[in-house]
Amino acid sequence: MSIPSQQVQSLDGHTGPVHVARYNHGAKYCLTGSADRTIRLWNPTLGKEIKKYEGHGREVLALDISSDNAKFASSGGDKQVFVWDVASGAITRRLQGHFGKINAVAFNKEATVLCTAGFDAKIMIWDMRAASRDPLQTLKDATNSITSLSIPGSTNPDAVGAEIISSALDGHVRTHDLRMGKMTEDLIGSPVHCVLPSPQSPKDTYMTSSADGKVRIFDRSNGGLLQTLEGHKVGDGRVRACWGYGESIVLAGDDEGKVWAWNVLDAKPLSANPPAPHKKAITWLELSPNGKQMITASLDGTVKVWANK
Amino acid sequence: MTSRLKHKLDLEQVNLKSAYLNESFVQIGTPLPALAESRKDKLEYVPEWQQEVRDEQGRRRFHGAFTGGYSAGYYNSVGSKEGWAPSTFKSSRTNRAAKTQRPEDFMDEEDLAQMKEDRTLENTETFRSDRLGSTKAELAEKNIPSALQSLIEPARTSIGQTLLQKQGWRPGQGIGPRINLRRLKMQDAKSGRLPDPDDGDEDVDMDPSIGGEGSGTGKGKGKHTFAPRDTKLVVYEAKEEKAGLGYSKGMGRGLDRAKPLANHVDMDDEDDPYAIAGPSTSARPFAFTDADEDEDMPVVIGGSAGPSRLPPSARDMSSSSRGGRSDIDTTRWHDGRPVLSGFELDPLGVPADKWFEMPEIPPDWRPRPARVWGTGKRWDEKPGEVKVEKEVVRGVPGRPLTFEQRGQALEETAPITTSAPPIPQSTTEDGKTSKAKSVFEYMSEKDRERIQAIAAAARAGATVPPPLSLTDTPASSAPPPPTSVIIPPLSPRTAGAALRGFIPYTDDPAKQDRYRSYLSSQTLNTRTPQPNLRTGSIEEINKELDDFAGSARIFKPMSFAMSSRFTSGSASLAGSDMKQAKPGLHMYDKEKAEKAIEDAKKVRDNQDKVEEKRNMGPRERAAVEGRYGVETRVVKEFYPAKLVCRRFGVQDPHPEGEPKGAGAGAGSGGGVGELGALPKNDASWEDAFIYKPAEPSSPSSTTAVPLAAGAAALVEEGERVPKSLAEVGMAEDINQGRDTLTYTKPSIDIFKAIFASDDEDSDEEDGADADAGPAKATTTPAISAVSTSSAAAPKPVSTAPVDLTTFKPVFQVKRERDDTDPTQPKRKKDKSKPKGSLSFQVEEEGEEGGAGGDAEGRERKRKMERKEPVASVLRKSAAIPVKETAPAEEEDMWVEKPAPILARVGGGRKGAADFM
Repeated sequence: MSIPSQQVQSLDGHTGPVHVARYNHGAKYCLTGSADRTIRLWNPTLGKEIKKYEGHGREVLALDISSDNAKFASSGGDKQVFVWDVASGAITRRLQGHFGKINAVAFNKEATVLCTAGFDAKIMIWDMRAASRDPLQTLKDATNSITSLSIPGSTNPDAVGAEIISSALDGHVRTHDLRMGKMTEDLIGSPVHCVLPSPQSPKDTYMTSSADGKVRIFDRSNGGLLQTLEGHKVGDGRVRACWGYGESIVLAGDDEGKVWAWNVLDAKPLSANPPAPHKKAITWLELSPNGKQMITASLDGTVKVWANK
Repeated sequence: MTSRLKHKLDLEQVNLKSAYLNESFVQIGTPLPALAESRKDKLEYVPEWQQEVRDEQGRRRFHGAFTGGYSAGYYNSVGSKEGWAPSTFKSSRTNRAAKTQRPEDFMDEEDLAQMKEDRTLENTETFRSDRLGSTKAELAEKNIPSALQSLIEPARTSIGQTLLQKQGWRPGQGIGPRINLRRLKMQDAKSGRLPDPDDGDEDVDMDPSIGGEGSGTGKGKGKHTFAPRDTKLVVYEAKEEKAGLGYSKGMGRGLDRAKPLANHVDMDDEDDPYAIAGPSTSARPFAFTDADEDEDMPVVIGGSAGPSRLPPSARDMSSSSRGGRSDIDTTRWHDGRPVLSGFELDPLGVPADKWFEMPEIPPDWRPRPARVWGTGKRWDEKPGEVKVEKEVVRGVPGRPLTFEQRGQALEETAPITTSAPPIPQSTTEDGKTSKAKSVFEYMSEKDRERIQAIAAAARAGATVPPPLSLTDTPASSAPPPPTSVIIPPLSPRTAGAALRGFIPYTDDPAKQDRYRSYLSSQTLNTRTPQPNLRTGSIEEINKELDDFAGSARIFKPMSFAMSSRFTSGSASLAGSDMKQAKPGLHMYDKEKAEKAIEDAKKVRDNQDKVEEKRNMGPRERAAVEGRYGVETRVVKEFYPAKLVCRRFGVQDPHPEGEPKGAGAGAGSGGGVGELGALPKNDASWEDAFIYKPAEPSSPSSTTAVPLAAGAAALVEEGERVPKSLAEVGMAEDINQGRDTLTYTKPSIDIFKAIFASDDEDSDEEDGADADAGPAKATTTPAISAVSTSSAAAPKPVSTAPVDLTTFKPVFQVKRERDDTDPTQPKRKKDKSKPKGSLSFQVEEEGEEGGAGGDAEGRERKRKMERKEPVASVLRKSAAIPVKETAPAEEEDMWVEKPAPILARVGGGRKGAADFM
């Protein structure tokens, strides 16, 4: 029931707002993407910057790391998707096709497929095996900018992921189930900033964070609402939430730089007015899979690393 | 001579062809003739008396050298061919010869030619104009003497002027047709000249018909025409002095230019402005201010420098400012140009720019630009802050670190790829890898953790709580037989809702109690955390609890779904309490009236809100009101590309490919498409949408899970086609009664099976399994076999297709009423097998059964059992409409015997056995 609340490191290398921070598989390193057009690789526990990846022409908005940690995909405001080789820092693939900024990228479990989605309301599925210029398929169900993508199997090695869950500003969460050939469309009502299937039982539950300032937990089997968490302040930017360890707690970033935590069972925040470690809005927060460490990225240009007390 | 010379040279053997022979060294005197052929004297051998002397023009000069020796005679201008012939000259006293001698008479041809060359074409005196010629020299020539001369001499007008005057032009006027006053004023405005009364008079004076009394009066305006204004002659002055541009001599910097101008104008104020009495005395009006000789000049006599140079109005203005007024003239710009008519200069003028004092710079300050852009890298860094430099292990650009170096920098002994902590046996200090590698080294950290967890659990003998472990137990491995009772968790909200809503298992009160206790154990702040458990093996207990959890999940949203279908009575009644006319005298009460207005406004606002909600559509409304679930969910077909499926490692769900057009039709058909697709993919459908615990299904289980299939379908259908749902069973339902009309009578065996006595029933139980059919199927349980057969007679055979969407709910409601007999139906349904023609419900399932195999059949059977709770739910929540609609509907259907049906409806749930 405890959340990492002790700041151990502050990763100050970026010279612009940090939009995304991702742990690698194994959570030993983390990648951060920033508006200064760079992606940096860090060792969060030591707070050392290992590598800098330069190539984007605009802000970096999304990152995803393949399960073998050998490559990662990045995308951003320059409408380009780059696939990088982690060790050499070279761009191995450039995927062009979107005509708006790309908000989300996601590898599938084997990293054979990369899904990208963004402002143009399309999800493009790219083949990572063959070097084709065009996407394998384009899903055009959304009617507004897609904000986040999730392929559940890619985060949980035990779940076999054949689903693409996406959230869009049109207030929908869409699940494209490849196994069943069904597209399930759940209306949330207000623009959804992110959708996060539960790391342990992605088939049963997902969490959405929407522009009306509510974090909702849904039962995926029937679309029913399980819990509503609110209290944090939501601004213009995207509000990222994250599942706590064991899914008993949900964490979310605030527009004022606060990190909110709720008890899932009774929907009460652990603290009614949490302190604000960041000077500006928190754009991303991610918990390491063992629950002992957390990183928060903020518009103030810093990434902070938190550990259990 | 040349021949002799040649001969002589020849004798001396000189080469005559040499070019040197033509060389001439003669400086004084006449040279010898040239020896070259080209220059040979052609007349060398001609005797001298035959030679002719010619002049430059080639005329023969001498006519016989010895006969006169001079040129004279016929060809040389005198006489004729015949000789000297004198011209006749007659003159008498009466008739004097009027011969005048001209100089040309005494001139020869050459003199005449010379005279012709000297002659040039030029204007005659008449056309030579004084005024048009305006070159500097001419103007300079025409100075005061010529001005004086012009006074003395009679004025000679140029031909152009004469012509113009003959056409009616007067000096001072412009050229062109006469115009009216309005046009004149427009012209004035265009030329920036201010209208004044004098001006008008002057013009009018020229028109003899008007006289002097002013055209300024209104009546004259339309009547009279005026000569157009004279156009200004633009004179570009050559700049000869070296002063700067715009500088005029005699004016110091900053002086008001209007003042000297005024002085100048004052002098010729009284002049006739249009008199062209002579050329301009000076091109520059400002020359008077400092030029002495200009003051001596009687400038005024000749008139102003130009009539059009300054309009008379301006002159007036300046004369008005004569009285020592020195403030800024608001009709002129500072440089003397007139302000556009209708505008005026702001007397305050343009405010001066504000200037601020330079800030005091501390004496010890010295600029250090590096402080601004050099060191501070970060945009939000404060300059005073001392930045702690983080160590970067990126290496030198161009020479990146090797992974060993990086590992050292990161204090990691193991390379990156093996993220596991080093196992002592595997790596040694000197970097060599020992040959004996542990199996664990090849496993990922997670696997190792899991193995450790399993080992620990085995040691402790306790179960690891599933939701808290990071890694799920793999689904593929068969779960070990449970050793303890696992109470499936349920969210307090769901549990509370389920507890308040419908409680299934009405046939088994003990089970119902257990279900309640399970739900209450899952509610928030429960006092009984341990539910009552059934007796039996642990496996059975677990199964039942799972079933309970499943039912709770199903029945919770059901209440929402059902309640949303019916609007409360108060809302519909709101329209009836309209204002009604009151008898008696109406007294106006202000407060009351205001209140009424307020109320009306509120009502309107509410209506607006309601309208807004109505516009939202059922899905949006459900989402806004928080009724998430089946109402906010839409499921569509999704056709992933084949390659995508292969990459994801799944089978193509639609190997037949995307239907062209057909899929769209099914999708647009609202719930129909969903329901139509339902049987095809029933198993998968359940998988995807129904919470189902992962366990092998056993035939004895009484789980209510698959029930949700029907229920959800029903709800979904209701949500999709709310309109038709509202109509279902109502008078406007076009499909109403169609099902009964197309209903085929079941065989008599079924009736026997149902309505015969119990012992008969039990006898047939084994044998007539196949044709027993579901008991519910009859829908006319109250009627005897005889009556059904008689009722069948008036039934017309309708070939119209049965609309399943609208038909099904009606049917189920009716059916469940029949078969929700708490005591009987269980047994009957168990033995009943589906038969295609029994009922519509069966028909539907029959299709499905045809497709499926034995397992399908079993599945179907189970479902039929579970139909019962759904039906009762439906009836419970839909009690009102059923009661309302049932009589009307059934009167249509069974006119013969309405009494028992009505009685049955009134009596509530009564099974078939009640009528036996």
